[in-house]
Amino acid sequence: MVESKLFVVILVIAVIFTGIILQLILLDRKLRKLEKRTEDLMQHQTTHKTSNQ
Amino acid sequence: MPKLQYVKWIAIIFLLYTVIAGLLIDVPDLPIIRQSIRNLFFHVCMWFSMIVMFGTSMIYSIRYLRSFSDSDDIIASEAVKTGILFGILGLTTGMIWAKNTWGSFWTNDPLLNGAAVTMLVYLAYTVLRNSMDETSKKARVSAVYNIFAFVILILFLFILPRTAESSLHPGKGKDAQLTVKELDNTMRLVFYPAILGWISLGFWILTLRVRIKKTENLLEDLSANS
Repeated sequence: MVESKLFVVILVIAVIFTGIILQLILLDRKLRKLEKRTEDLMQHQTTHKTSNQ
Repeated sequence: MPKLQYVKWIAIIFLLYTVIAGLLIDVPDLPIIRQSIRNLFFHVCMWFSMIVMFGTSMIYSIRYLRSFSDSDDIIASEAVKTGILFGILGLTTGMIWAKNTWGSFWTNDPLLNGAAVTMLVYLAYTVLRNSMDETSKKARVSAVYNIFAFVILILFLFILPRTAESSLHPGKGKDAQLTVKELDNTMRLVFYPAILGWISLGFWILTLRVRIKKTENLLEDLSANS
């Protein structure tokens, strides 16, 4: 495999795979933040409503 | 931006084909490069994807300067970030391939240096954007800069390497070793679908990023109003 240099291709595919996975982790984090903000907003609205009543 | 609902399926199917066929088809056994010629389906396609992302970004920057709509600005800036991802992958995979073909991670080659300059220009775009607080000013300045950045890209990736005396990198320089014209016919069967697959993956990531950004902005508006 070293002689035929096929390992270079495997290595390159592995790097690209890692890059895509890192991108996914980043997007996952961003979404989690958004979910948390949505929840906070919902809670804020419900407390706002109850204080109005 | 169109919703591009089918783009993910194009990406999935074509990339599956690329990885399987890319490793299994018969390739011409050239000296030194040997089996690593298969990187054409991976490393080279990263750059295609990057250029398409930056091109999309430039188109939306022009659209922004005509419409001043927030949506165009979001698409332009997220496309730059997606393009940077592919650029970094292109540089890393290129360095691995260079180490195993030319013996060093980096050579003083016009195309390699051009790619590095291009990446720096786009990294500067993100720095420029983050340095401004006011939304409309940020969008306008970065849109103008973005058009300029794409001109730099064309200059450093297409014009300067072609006028260079010599280049180690295939497909560029006056003594190009391998051009698309000489490309083996069986390799074309994988190369073209691979390009389509990787570009589609770029658009898929771009739509995800744009949707997240738009939701973020919407939430900001909502919490400001409540």
